[in-house]
Parts: sequence; structure tokens; C-alpha cells
Amino acid sequence: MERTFKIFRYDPEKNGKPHFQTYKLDCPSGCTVLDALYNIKGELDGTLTYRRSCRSGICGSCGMKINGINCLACKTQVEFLKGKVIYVEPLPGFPILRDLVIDLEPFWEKFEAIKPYLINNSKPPTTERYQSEEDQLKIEEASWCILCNCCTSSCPSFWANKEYLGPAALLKAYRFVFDSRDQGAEERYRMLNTRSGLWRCHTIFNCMDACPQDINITDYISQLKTRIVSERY
Amino acid sequence: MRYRIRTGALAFILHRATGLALVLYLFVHIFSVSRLANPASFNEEMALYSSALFKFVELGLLGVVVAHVLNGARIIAVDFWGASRKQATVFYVAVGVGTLVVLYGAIHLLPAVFDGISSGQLLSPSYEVIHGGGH
Amino acid sequence: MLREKGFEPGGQFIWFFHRVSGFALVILLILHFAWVHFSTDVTSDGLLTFNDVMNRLSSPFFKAIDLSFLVLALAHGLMGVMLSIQDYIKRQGLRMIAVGTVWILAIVFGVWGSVTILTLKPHEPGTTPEPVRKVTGVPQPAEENQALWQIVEDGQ
Repeated sequence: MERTFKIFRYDPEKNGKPHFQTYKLDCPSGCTVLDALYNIKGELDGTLTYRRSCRSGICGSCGMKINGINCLACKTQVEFLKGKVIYVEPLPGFPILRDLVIDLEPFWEKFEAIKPYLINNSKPPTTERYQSEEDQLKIEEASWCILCNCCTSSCPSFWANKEYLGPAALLKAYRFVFDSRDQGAEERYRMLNTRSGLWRCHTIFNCMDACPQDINITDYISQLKTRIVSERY
Repeated sequence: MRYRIRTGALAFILHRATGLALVLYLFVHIFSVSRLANPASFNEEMALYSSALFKFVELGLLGVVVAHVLNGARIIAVDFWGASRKQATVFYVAVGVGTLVVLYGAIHLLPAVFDGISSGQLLSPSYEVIHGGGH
Repeated sequence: MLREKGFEPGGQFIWFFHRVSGFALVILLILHFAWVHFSTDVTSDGLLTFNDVMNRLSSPFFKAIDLSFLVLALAHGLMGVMLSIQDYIKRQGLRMIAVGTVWILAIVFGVWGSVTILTLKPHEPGTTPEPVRKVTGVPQPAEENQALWQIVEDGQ
């Protein structure tokens, strides 16, 4: 079935203005948006630029805004997209480098700020640091994150305030703060409990709608909030 | 293409808008209650409030308050009772309950509004003011 | 590295207060409504006089409810405005002006409203307060009732 794609194009090196370019393409059943982008690049227009790697929804490279919702291009099948035209745009709220490629530096900056690694100053045991099954279950879902940036770039609070840590960083903070083996909660609170931290989250749920891993992000952020508040008051 | 607005974002926008509207209303309310302390402005004000147009405004106020309260309850449910997976359902339930409450208000308030429209007197009081001992 | 200015501590109080005061405000709102709009003891005869209203508003119970309602509603609402300012106003100067305005509004309306609530009282012709006059049927303004301002519903 032939579908029309309107793809965001922008090439700063050629002094081009951002615009949409239309491509018409035959998409068989089961064809994903990423497959369509491969076909466009291979057969129609070699200058189209986008990030991709694994094609199977685990690397988190091909996050883009498709028909107004952030998602992974490789997890979105064309036949389930409604409307005559399929709009493909880069993830919003970040500087655009070219076409569908955005500058992820601000994303990693926020990610680093919450110290996304185990902090434990006690002497390492000779074997692993053990964790009960119950404690592991608390952080399991939060560990599914593939860092595709679909959530942070879908957040209206982030669009309004680029200093906001964003759902991805907050989710990772939850993953370590609620890890029974971690001792760095206080250090992380110093970053979380700020005007640009946790409290910019207004439970808008764009992140959960966008998340390709279907993680309960808002709930984890709320648990962080409740924990900080219950420790202070 | 603009980012698509789904239930969560819609609820957030409504919550902000109704919240800011209620702050403005609170200022007006503080001003108007301060005028009640004086018998002369008391009567003026009570007359204005009983007019058809104000009944309509009151219905709008009821809607705004109910929307803010119910979405506030939804936010509390999300934050403390882990309702985040069910937030869309909670939103629709809130819309349903809110509609019922506003309908209840409309049954009481709209007859006066229709009277005002049919008589063409939207701003005149629906009762007669008798000045003390004046008759 | 992340700039420091956005990372000033704080914010947890507003979040916590919004939830607690929001819950309290709903209860107060219901009390406020039941007391002011559905308590029909003085309006069942179709009469609503200045003194009727003032007697009701000046009861200590209502004053306590209304004062806490005022303070909580102002704080809840203006903290919401503060939250919006933190969300959308990034320029330091502008933000300070906006935050200052919110504080001034809080103080002005807080004082104004409290003074109104605390000083509301029935009209007093002499030194003793006039009791509420329950009038049945067609109101007949009496001599000693001069100070009463009566509002009669249509058709009464």
C-alpha cells in the first residue's frame, strides 16, 4: 500500500531552512517506519540522515516524533498509523544537528548529574553484593530503560525549562535510590531536590505515553517525591 | 506537527488554567466580601449576584472548581496510591463525576438564567429591594 | 557542566503543601458552601436581610472556617502561581519581579481578607447587637427595625 511520508529536513551546512519533504512509498504489511526510512535513503534520497542501529527496539537510537508522538521508528508499524500523511520529525526540545538527528549532549548532561552508578563505600565482599528478590523487584522495571530519550523530549516541563533533569534522569535516579545496595541517596537528593529537579514534574504523562519500554515512569518519580518529602517532614 | 495532546497533558493544561482562574476569582471574592460589610454596597452586590448573568457566571465557577478539585484528587491518587497506570481511566471517571455535579448545579441555576434571557433582563436582580422602614 | 542557578534547593515544600492544603480546602469548601449557600434557617421565609447574613458570617465557627479557608486558599493558589513562574520565567530579573509581585499580592489580599472576615458584624443601632428578626409572610418594617435592609424575593 502506498503511503505518503512528510519528513523533516534540515541541513545547516547547505544553509538550508528547516522544511518538510514529501516521499511516496509502497509499504507492505509489517513494514516499520524505520524500514520505510531505510528504503527512502537507499532508493529515493541518499541525503536523508537519521540515527539507527539495532532495528529491534533495544538500542534506543531511532527515537523520533512520528505523527506527533515520540516513539521508536523500529517499533512503529506503518499500517497502524492513521491519517493519509505520516509526519516524521526529530525528537522535540533538543538542538537539531541535521534532519532527524538531534544533539543529545543536554540529555547526557542531565543523566550524569544524578550519578547513574552504584555508590557503596563499604568494602566489597568477595562475592557479589547480594540483594533479595523482593528488593530486586522494586527496581527491575526501572532498569528496563534503553535511554532512547523519547520521554525527556516529550515532556512539556522540559520544553519550558531546559535545565529540568527530565524523566529519563529521574527514572535512573529512582533505580539507584531504591536499590538496596546503594548508599548514595543523599548525594543524589542534592541534585533531585532542586528547582530544576524532581519538582518540575507535574505528572503530565507524556513520558509514559512515549516510552517504548512501557515503564511506569510517573509512578517512580512520584515515589521519589514521596520519599524525599517523608524524610524531610 | 504539534505534539499530540493526550489525557495527561490535557488534564495538566486544564489544571493550570482552572488554577490560575481560581486565583483571580479569589482576589475578586476577597474584594466583593469586603464590600458586604457596608449595608449600602451589600444591597447593590446582592442584587447583582441574583441577576441572571451572575447565575450563569456561578455555574461557570462551579465547573472550574469541580474540574480543579477532581483533577487534584486524580493527582493525589497518582502520587500516593500508585494510580499512574490507570490515570486515563481516573481522568474519565473524574470527567463523568464532574459532569454530574455541574448538571446538578445547572438544574438549580439555569432556570433563573433562562428567565433572565426570556425577559431580556440579564443584569437586574431577581427580587425586589425594600429599604428598611422606607415604606 | 550543568549551570548552578537552576539547581537551587527547594520545591519539596510547595509540592507537599499543595497536596495537603488541597485536601483540606475541599473539606473547607464543602463546609463553606453548606454554611453559606445551603443553610436555610434564615432564608426559608424568603427573606435575606443584611443582619441575617452578618449574623451568620460573624459566628466564631464561621470566622474560624473562613479564616483558615482564606489563608489556605491564598497560599495554595499563589504557590501554584509560583510554580508556573518557576516553570516558564527563566530570566533572573523577570523572575524576581514576578515572585515579588506574588508576595505583595499574598500580603495585601491576606491582610485585606482577614480584616474583612474578622470585622464583619451585624449592624448595631445601639450598643447591643440587633437580634435577627424572623419575619413571616409579607415583611412589615417596624419602627425599631429602621436599620434593617431587607431583600424580598420576587412573589413573596
